[in-house]
Parts: sequence; C-alpha cells; structure tokens
Amino acid sequence: MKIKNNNVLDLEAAQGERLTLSFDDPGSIAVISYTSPGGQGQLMPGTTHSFTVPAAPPNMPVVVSVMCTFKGAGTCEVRLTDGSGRVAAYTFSSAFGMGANAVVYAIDVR
Amino acid sequence: MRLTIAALLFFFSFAIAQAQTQDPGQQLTSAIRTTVERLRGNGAPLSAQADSVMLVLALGVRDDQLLAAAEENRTDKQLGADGRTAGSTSLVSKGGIPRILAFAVENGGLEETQSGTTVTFRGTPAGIIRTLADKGYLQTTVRNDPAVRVLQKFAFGVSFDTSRGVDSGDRPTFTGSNDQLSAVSGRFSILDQRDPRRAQYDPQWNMLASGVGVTAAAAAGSFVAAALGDAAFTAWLTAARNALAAAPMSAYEVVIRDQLRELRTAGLAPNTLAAAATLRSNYDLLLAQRQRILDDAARGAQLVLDYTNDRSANGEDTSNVRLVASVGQQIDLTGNVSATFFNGTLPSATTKRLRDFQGALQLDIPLGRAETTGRYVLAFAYKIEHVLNDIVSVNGITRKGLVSVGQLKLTIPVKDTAVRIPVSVTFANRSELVKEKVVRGNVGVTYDLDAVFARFKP
Repeated sequence: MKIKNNNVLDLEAAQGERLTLSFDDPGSIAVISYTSPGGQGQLMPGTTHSFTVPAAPPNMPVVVSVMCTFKGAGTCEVRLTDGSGRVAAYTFSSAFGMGANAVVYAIDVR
Repeated sequence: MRLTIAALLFFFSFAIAQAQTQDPGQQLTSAIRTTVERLRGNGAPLSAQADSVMLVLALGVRDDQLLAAAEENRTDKQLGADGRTAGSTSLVSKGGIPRILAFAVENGGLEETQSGTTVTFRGTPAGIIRTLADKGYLQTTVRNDPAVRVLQKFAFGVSFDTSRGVDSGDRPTFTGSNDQLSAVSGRFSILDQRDPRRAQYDPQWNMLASGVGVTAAAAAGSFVAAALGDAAFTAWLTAARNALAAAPMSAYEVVIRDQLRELRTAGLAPNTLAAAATLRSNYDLLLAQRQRILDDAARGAQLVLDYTNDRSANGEDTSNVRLVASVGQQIDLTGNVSATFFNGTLPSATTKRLRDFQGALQLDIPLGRAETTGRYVLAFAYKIEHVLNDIVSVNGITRKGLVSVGQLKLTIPVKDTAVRIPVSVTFANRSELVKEKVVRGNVGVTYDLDAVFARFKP
C-alpha cells in the first residue's frame, strides 16, 4: 500500500494485497460504520476488518468508506494498515459540532 | 391565570419542537470549520474522500453561520457560585459537573444582604490533571481507565469574593488571596445518566452504526467514486485547492465558502448529483436517529452529593451538605435538600450546631436553538429555609423561622461565545436578617471554559 499525493485517503495497492481497517477511540466518543470490498458493518473499538484488494479497471479506484457518528465530544482515529505495517490513519473530530462525518479511502489498484 | 398557562404551554411546545429539529446551515458550517481545522493542521487536503459530507451539504443549503457545541446545549451545569455565596444569581444548585474548569463571575446579591462580586472556579481533578499534562480537553472523557472514571465523579469549586480586602468606594479586584476566599466546595456524582456514552445507550448506538450508518457509509463511497470520475468536479477541486494555496490560513473558511458556491455552478455530472442526493438523504436519516439517542440520554437522572465550606466575611463560617437530584424530559426538574452546620466555635452558648434545613426545586425550560438564536433557559425556582434559632453576629440578628424565596431567571447566551448572562428576579417573604418582604433583580455573567476548550483544543 502506498500513500499518494500526500493524502492518506488517496492510496495505491496491489491486487490481492491484504488490508486491515481498525478504529481507535479511547474516549468512547463515536461509533463507526464501514463498507469495503470485503463486506460492511459496524467496526467496534479494538476490533479489525480485513479484506483483499480486488481487481479494478484503470481510473476506477476501489473505495473503502467509513462513517463516524459522534456520541460525545472528542477525536477518534481510523486506520488502514497493510501487511508491512504501513498505516493510512485519519482522525475524526467533533470539535466544531458535526454529528457525523465520512471519509473514503480511494485505492488505485496496480 | 389563563394567559399564564397559555404562555407556559407555548414555551413548553416551543422548547420541545426546537430540540427535535436539525439545521442544515449548522451542519454545513460545522463541516466547513472541521475541514478548515484539518487543513490548518496539515491534515488531508481538500478532497472528495475527506470532505464528502461538506460537499454534499453545500450542494443543498445556504452558507448559514452556526454555533453548535454540545457543551452549550446542556442546561444541567452549575457554572456560577451556589445560592449561598454573595452575589450569586443561582437559587438552586445543579447536578452537572464541568469536566475541565468553569469560571464564573456573578454580580449582585441574592440571599445575603451583603452584595459583592464572586469569582468561582469549578472543575474535576481528572480534567485539571489532564489539561496540565497537555493532553487536551477531549481526552478527559476517557472511561476505559478505572482511575480516571472514579476521578471524574469528583468535582471541586473555589469561590472568591472580590469585594473583600478593598477599601470602600474602590473597584473590586480579584487577587486570589486567602482573605477573598469565600467558599470551598466538593462534589461527588452518585448517578449521571445524561452522558450519551454510557453503556446503557450502547444498544441504540450499535443499531445506528450497523443500520443507517452502513447505508450512509456506502452512499459516501458511491459519491466519492462518482466525483473522482467527474471531470467537472476534478476541475473544481483543482481550482479550489489553488485558491486555498494562495490564501493565508486565516482566510481558509472564507475561501472554502466561496469555492463551495462555485461548486453549485460547476456543472457536475448527473450521476454525481444523484449520488450526492442519496448521501444527503442518508446523512439526514443518520443525524435524525443520532438525535433521538441524544434526546433519550437528556432524559436521564442525576444525583449529586455536594459539600460547601462557606467562609463568611463578617459572620460565622459554615458547612453545608446538599443532595442534588435532577430528572428531565426536554424540561429539567432539579431538587435540592440540604443542612447547614456552624464550623468551630458557636456564636453563642444557646446556639445549636445545626444552623438550618433547606429544600429547593427548579424547573428549567430551554428555549431557542443553539445554532441560531442560542440556547436560552427560562427557570422557575422555589426555595424554603428553616432557620432553627436566632443567631447574633456582626451582621445583625438572624431570626429563626421560615424563609420562603421564589425566583424567575432567564439565562441569555451570547452568540458565538461561551458567555451566558443570567437575569433573575427574586421574591422573598423575608430575609434571614429582616422580617420584611424582599424583591430583588440580578444580572450576571458566566463563562464556560469547557465550550472554549472543546473548540480550540481538539
């Protein structure tokens, strides 16, 4: 997995590469929902969701979307990690009153 | 009387209706400010991947200003000094505990005949320690650590009467000296069901996350996929990033608002607009379900044990033990029962250690909206005090008997700040010293640092 354009949400990965989605929420301030090529559901703190990067046509990135719904004030972090330990981490913040926010990892498949 | 009842019903219905609505303008401004903060912190650049919610909101709403802070929505925090302190505008103590520090300055007099300016600091040991350790306000709510969990149940308060130690006619000045120390208090939260992060609300949150949360996440993915393949969006994004690169950080919010206006006329592809509409509708459903959970939490009960050591300027020092209970729907009902004891040497040989019993009730009715008009709170309060015996002091003679006090208070928020202005009118059958009816008006200012920290220390 490679981070492109200095943007942790703009990634490149090889077909067949195994990626893992995780969630760090020490303040218990959010619930996380996700969709990925490997499935969809709720991601509980301390648990992970792994999937294999599928084949994709050029200029059609594989997307992994995450919806963070805040139940309290604070920050939490989602991470996409590859088998070598490279991490693309994104921090959600409710500091300005957002009730929920989404991020989408766009993965160009090589 | 009929008019009064009608007015009350209007206030009730207004308060409830307002609590249930969502403001798209507020959502957009929150999203914009979240993006601005991320860009200032060298986080992910402006993109469909990071900003799908903001982009979708911008396609459907006006650029309204907002002030949306959960902290400012709460009506259950005691920010000022309690009712026994000189200059306080509070008749009934509240059960909520600020997590970091609340600072309040209140002017005027309520129960004491002495008027003055009281500065109160309240906070929790857990919050203060974490702030001093520079770990930030937002990590003070950690509940996984048992020690922190216990510490968060405790709060303290220190009040200073700034009129003490000042020559007559001089302006009151806060020195923080021992002479100005007018009260020290400790508080233990026995029960607090108003925290939406409590385990009792987990089933509702999990249902949200596994249901509409997943649908909304999928909709965000579809929108981003569509936007990344849309030449019009790509062109707009390039222009928006260039505009941001050319602007100082202080102008980011203005630049983003300008660029979002451009987005509306950028000629986005129909499939991008359709995906945006789907994300928007799912996002609205998600927020509506979230609000229902927060409303449930707001109806929870609170029970707090409070101890206050009052250091009188001219009379006897006293200790007060108070039990505070709150229940609420959209409207908050708070009750206090308390007993006050003399500290140290009694004023006279015939004086009993127990000075008085008190009971109080307060009804808080939230009015207006946090994101537009601000969160006004109209409060009705009644307090009865039984002084057990006549007490002679340098202030005069405190007459034994019943003191009955009623209060009408309106707390006015100052928009875009953490400042609130309580205005109150108090009626009493007598004061402790004089057996005459008393009517008094007070105006004060309170300042909630939690709300400030929540914005500037994510």
